Amino acid sequence: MNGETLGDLVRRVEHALTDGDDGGTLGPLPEPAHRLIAADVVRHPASARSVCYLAALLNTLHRRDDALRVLRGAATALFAADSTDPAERGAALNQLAVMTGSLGDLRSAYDLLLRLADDLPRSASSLQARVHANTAAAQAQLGLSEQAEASARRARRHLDAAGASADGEDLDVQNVLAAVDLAVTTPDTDPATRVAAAARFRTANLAALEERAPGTGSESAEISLLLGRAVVELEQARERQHTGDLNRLTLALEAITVRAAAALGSEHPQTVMAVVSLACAEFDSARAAPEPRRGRLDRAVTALQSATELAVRCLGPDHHLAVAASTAHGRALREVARTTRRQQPTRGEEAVDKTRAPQVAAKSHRSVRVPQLVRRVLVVALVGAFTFLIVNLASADQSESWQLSVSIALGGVALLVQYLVDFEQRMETMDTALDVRGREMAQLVGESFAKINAATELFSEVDRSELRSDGVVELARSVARVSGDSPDIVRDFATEEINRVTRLIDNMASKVADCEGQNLDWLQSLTQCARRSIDAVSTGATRDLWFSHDAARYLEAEAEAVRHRGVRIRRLFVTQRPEDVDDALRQLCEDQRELGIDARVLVPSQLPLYVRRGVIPDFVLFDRTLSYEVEQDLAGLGGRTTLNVRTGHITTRVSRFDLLWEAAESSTGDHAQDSNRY
Amino acid sequence: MPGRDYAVDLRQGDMYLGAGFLLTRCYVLTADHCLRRLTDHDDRVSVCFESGATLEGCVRRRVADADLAIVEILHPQDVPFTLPNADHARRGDRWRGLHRPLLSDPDLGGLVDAYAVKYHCEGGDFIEAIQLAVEQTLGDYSGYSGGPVEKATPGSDGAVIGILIEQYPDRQDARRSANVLFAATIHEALSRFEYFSTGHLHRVLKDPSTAPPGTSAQGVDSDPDAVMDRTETVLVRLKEWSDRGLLDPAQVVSLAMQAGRAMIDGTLGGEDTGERRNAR
Repeated sequence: MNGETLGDLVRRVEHALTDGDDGGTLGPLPEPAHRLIAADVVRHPASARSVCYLAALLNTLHRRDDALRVLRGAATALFAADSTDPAERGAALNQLAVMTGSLGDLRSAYDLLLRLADDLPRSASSLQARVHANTAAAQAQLGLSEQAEASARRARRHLDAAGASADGEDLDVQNVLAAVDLAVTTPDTDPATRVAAAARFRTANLAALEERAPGTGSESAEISLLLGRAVVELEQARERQHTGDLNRLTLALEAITVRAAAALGSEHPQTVMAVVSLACAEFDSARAAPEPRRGRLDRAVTALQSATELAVRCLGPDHHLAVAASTAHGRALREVARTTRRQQPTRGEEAVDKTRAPQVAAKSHRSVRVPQLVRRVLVVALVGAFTFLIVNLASADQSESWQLSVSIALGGVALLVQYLVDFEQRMETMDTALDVRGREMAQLVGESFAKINAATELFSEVDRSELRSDGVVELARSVARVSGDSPDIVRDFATEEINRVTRLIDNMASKVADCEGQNLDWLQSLTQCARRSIDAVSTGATRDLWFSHDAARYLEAEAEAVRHRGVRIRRLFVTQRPEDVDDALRQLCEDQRELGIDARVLVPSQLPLYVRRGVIPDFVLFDRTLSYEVEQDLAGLGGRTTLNVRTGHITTRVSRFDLLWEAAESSTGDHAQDSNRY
Repeated sequence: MPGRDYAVDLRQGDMYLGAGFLLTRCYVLTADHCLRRLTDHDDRVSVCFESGATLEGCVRRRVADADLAIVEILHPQDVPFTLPNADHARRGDRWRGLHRPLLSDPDLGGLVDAYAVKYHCEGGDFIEAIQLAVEQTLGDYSGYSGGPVEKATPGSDGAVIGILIEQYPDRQDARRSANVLFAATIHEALSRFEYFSTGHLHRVLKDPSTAPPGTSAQGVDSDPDAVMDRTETVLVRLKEWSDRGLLDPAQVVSLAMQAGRAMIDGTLGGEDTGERRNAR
């Protein structure tokens, strides 16, 4: 490891790959390697490309966790590097974010992009456009349609501000945006809007293809464009139920898939995406044929099974493309089974048929809804493919090996279908029940549908709220697990805790929440959530905290925020009298400095009048958007804790902190010159 | 390439021409020298599957320099669908050939010595090739050309990595072949035929007239008046969408131009639009 550079590290991993050891002898990347990567990317933000390349190689060696850790480490280091040129740093972080999403961690990529958007200089319009376009693509894949549309609008504004010259960069951004526009449409969208979105996509797609001069573009980028176009045309043909077009497009997609496999390899995520799309397309073509032949449908189902197995093998069983492919396979199996049943009705089924009027409506509804799930696969292919282009774009001057390898990134396909899958399975269960029991089940099914609709509506609201929906879903599941057999105390406790959380979230919606006493759990959680900064003023109200057992846990959280997330922490200890600056306080500051926290001491009585005028409250500003405040009661104890996110209040607190911070001289060690300096 | 039954024999009448294999349901890849006995002025061939099925094909393009040729299957809908399965290989991978000239001949197999090497083939061109070490020392591998080379991975179906095209002579005895064979990679083969080029595929995706065989588009009207009526409808619809703010003026102009161009092509029989010239 000693003396190894990022280039050496990349070569070592390349050798592991080309020598066919599949990473077995490479071993986990040691801590020094991660430090090396972080230091390198801070010195040269452009080396983010090499970091992405390294992550792609690690992923190919089935070392996805290592790959994601490499990307996270580089991103954290870049965010913490104030001295780096903001535009260079932004471009590098954009690449790291897209690669993170491409490796399947779409939520982290999304968080990274959001943080990056706040961090970028306003003057970097072109970069802003790229970042917002990628954010829109991530949101579209996460099913956050409204947010995706808003991000797309922001991206377009920045494109306009950049003076949209029709160069490759702008064309690729426009391509992503056109794909997002199309991806967020639903069957309920006005048909004219959908057609117009498709037309915009085609125009952007054609422009991007024409812009690439023969032999100069990356093959994977061209395959992405072709795959996206095929997916859109297939979707349109399916809606029109145009058999000829479906067959034609399926054959074209077959050729694209062969080309992807030959150029990029059979396990390349882009190839896997093409294979899954092809299997779906063939199934649709077989089903839409005027006289569907059982043999063709069976082969299509087998192909869907193979595509699912390939996706699971290459991307992991939890990857959203694998989940979506698996669901499409299940649907196909059911459809073939139903076709068989229809062709060979039994006497019992004939009897049931006479009582099936309510089911016809249900099935009719499903025939509209179910293809949506397959459509999700296609939407993922569409947006995923184009998101990739923005990374690839920056690599035009790189070697072909880079271009090939970075394209391993594609397949980022993260689609939040978890509860859709649950929904689908529940629908399946109900459908079977209908077949068996007939009309008397119709009422029950109707009630169940209502419940599912309510659940779906609830989850939709969660999605729209921008809260992480998985946490809410997990809470709902956990509540369900507290069964009626649990002791009373357990159920009451669970209920009280849920009520407490509900009250907190309810209060936060009105921008202020409070509770009795000092709430260290809030302090701890907020520290774990902070992304950029923590600015704290510690007065006598919280002085005892630092000498208690709770301090260790809190400081550990702060140190973790500094080390792993690059959060900047500044703490101002306020004492009333100069003689209060004692050895204990000096040691406290020293200890915090060793953890990476910038600590200063302030004695207001020694400050100019304009600074010490007014009260100095005990507060902690998180990301300069939320203030955690502790008020003392008459006994001098922590009487009440308040969380406040009101803009006016935060502005006042930020100004107050900045003024006090400037007023306090920074410490340089143990050589105290006066009461402020220690 | 699709499925296990993708290796084929090519025949013309009763005459055996050589081996080949399906790249997709539409196209069969073969070595150009396998077609040297093809009758002049007759490109029709029979594509014979191991299952016994025979389909009609037509030689579409021959690239003698790279010793590659492609045959189009005229009724691809009759070819059973399975997923394509091409791949790369690495040095040391095991390979196997799927084609034997006669049932009395042995199967070939061995190890990949080098993948994606630049190779000056007998046709005269440089190609991206695979150097294969063959374990069956026959001294002469004639008749095996055109067959698929599969990467043999334990526990899974093989994946096609190339097409066998040449044997390397023994340097001490030029009458014999050494146990070194060369295959063109699938990537090389695809790059030689426009059917797999970005431009062609893009045209197929957007334009039914370039559809693969056996998939004639439905609903295409060639009557000039009908074409003009359709164009008129499109233009009216574009204006509606523009009025509703769904399209911006630049997009309307671009789409209207495309509609006009398509109308001129439709009524006057033009084929090569500017758009097509630009798309590769």
